[in-house]
Amino acid sequence: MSLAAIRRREGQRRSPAGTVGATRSGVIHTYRYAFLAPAVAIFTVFFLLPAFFGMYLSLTDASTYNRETHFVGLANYRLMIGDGSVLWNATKNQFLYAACVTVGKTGLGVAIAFLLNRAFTGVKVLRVVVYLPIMFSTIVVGLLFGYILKADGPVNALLEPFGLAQNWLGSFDLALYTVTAVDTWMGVGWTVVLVLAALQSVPRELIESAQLDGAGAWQTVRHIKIPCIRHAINLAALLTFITGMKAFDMIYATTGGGPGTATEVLTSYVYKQLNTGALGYASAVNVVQFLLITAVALVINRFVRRMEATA
Amino acid sequence: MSFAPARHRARKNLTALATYGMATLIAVVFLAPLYLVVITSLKGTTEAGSMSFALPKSWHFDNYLTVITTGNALRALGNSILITTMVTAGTILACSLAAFVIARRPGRISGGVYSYLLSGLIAPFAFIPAIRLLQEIGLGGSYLGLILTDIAVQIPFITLTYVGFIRQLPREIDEAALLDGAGSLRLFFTIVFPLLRPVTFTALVLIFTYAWNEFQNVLFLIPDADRWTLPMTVFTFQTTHSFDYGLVCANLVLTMLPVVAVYLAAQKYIVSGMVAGAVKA
Repeated sequence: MSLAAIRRREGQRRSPAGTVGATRSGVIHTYRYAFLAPAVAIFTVFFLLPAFFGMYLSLTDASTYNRETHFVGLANYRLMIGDGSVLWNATKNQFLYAACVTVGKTGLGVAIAFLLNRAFTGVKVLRVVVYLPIMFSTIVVGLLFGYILKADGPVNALLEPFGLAQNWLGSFDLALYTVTAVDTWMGVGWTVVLVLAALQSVPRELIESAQLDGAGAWQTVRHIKIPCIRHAINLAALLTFITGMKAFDMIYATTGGGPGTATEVLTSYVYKQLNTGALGYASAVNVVQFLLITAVALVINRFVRRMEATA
Repeated sequence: MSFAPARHRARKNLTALATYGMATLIAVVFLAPLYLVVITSLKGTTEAGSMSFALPKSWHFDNYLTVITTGNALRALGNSILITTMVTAGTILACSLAAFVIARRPGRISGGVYSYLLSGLIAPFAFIPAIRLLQEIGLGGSYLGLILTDIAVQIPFITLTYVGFIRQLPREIDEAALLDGAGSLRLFFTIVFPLLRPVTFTALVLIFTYAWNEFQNVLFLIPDADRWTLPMTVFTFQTTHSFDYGLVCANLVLTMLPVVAVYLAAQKYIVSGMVAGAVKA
């Protein structure tokens, strides 16, 4: 749901201001603006200030090794253009990663949600199992799969007899897709939660009347259920995409950006730059990443709002 | 006509078979990696190396002891507990207080503050400059710097959750307390805050898992290994013991256990929290 829509809806829900005997001074004394101070102060200093400070740093030669900082104008950005192909590769990988994760989590998530919407023995246990990996640390899951997928690991041991063994995380062509598959394993449960909640709120009468009209199982899914849960599917897909645009932990834990730069994304590139101490340059890349994600998020937010308007 | 019910039954059996087949497949895909890490954590060095599905020939429960004594696990556990507790308490306090005023006192200031905080839902966190910023204000590499940063990242969403909930609470509650002559802070903590229990539980679980698992901020903001949290030490432990899979897996299991415990205990709130989160984000 778009931010504007939240505010609109909450505005309607709000009870008429100060109805119940609350005098003006009562309101002032009870709901003190001072209560807003901790949240606003922490958010401003530790969330927003870094963003603006980063814009300044990106114009300097700041280093993690040296506290002295000089203004260098747009030099860092010119340097970035010089590194164009490396940066372009990281950006491209980031988009590809986000797209693959979105397709994987949404496709499998919807399928699993339909399965878990059926009544069968053990369905509750299976739900618990599917949601479980969301709770783990990305780094832990990444390491775990690093072991499972290693060249002489258990997955290859199973696939060997069929001639399907691969160097999953070490191959230039495969690594990025392998990492997105691991990410899908970990995060698909979140899509399932959302889609399942939507499926369970499809009115029973709607399904029953369709069946009375002679609709088969497939037709019920296609013409009744899917339209009813389309909103949830769209939302899950769009939020997954935004998260994919920020993905870093999983890549850091499994491939570290390699082999070569096959799985290099923006944050892993920034991390490497930082290891050379180049805080100013890293900030410049961070600013570009910040603008890119914000732009994508705004476009998506707009897109969702338009979808809601037509829905 | 007589075979129609039979065909119907056969079809029904087939559907049930397909359902159970798919369910089993999913269960295996999700449980096999967890089985592997647990079983490998109990094997000796040579046996663990192949990371097979076989049960251990000899059970090495001492792997856990080794991890706890040689690794940084205990210290990291302490760090994780400290940071997670502070982040959770801080976020809940700051957000519930702010949400109370935003939800109850209409006007330009409350509305403006609300929009301001919500901007954090879209803008990503700029972690690179945060490193230098924390240094500049004397919090570089400190627990407090990391804790306040984690809180700041969580504020937008948790405030949103609280505001939505408080707006559904009847105002009469505040009125009754005022007549009793309770001061505003006392009113909040004695009357309002206890009523927020359902949303506080959800927030608690969401913030706990976030702070417990958080990796990126620790990696970038805390250079001192003595202050690292569990996921971070697992990562470094793995680089130093890269060939002793038994030990690394024991370390992984130790890190996953607390979250599994919280998950099984508070499942209901987690699921409702995720749905609420997604619908509002």
